Amino acid sequence: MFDFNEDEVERYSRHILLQEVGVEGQAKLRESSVLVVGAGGLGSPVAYYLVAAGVGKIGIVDFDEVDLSNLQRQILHSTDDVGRAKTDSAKETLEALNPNVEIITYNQRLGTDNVEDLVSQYDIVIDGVDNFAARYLVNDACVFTNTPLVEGGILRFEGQVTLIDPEEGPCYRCVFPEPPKPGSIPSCQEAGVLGAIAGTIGTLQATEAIKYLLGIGESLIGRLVIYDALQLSFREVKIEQNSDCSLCGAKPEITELEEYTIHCSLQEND
Amino acid sequence: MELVVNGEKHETETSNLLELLEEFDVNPDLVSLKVNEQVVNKDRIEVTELSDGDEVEMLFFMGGGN
Repeated sequence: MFDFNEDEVERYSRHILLQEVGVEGQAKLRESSVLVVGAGGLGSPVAYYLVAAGVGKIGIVDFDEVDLSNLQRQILHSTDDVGRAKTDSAKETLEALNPNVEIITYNQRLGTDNVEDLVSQYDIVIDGVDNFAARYLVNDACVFTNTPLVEGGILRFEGQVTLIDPEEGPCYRCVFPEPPKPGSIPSCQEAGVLGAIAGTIGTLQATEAIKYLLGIGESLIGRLVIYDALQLSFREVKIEQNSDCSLCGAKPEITELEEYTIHCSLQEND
Repeated sequence: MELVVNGEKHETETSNLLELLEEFDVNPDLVSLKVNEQVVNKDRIEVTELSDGDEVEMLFFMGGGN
């Protein structure tokens, strides 16, 4: 019925053993698609685990090239990849891991002209972007197209993650109404980040996407989880749909996508 | 009075949100602020008064995916 061949059954056997997944869940994953925005610190573990898990189709968006300073945390890329397009390097690594997964790469910058079309082609989107212009753009596009979004961020020794389902809970703007002032927020490039934290948060994002696709467990909708690595503590903040939200509130002011190019000057090339 | 700030009890003299941020040495540009269930608009920080028992969350902007 689920027509997995012998190799696939063996490859996914530890999933299939799980009551909550089973052959049926594994088949669901194979039918699913996830768009990973950014093939960097967060996108690396996210894509790695989703491809290993056998999600049928993974899209990866990035326009950047691999830099030596990326390799401390961006585990999709290797020393020999420095200078290559991140999408090419990512595709090669991921195809070597699991040839059963379709990897579609978009070596392009996200903008108002392409983002809605892209996100709406996937079951769920995972945010691993390095600048707030793209972060708000992805949030807005997901709200407009009703596409769920696993949101994640990291800085220094901390990270945060939440699941945005526009049909059910708050969006990013409900909690962070406006993009920060240009230059006010330090990027990882300026402030630093412990590389392994990208792994912690990215792995949480991948797990939440898989839970969402399988429909198992407690959803992360309406919960912002904050990870403090130095204390080794996780804290949960309840977040709610904000009736004043300029995007998904009672009287939305934002009715079409806006470009926030002014805000990315400082955070680019992170 | 006693507040709960970022999940922990905090004894303070001030009842003003901006002053509380100064007490924590937090730049208002770096955070989104929640008092109890309500997200506080940027232009309201200075005029937001706190009461005993209020729960304040300072939620930091975090980017840094790449």
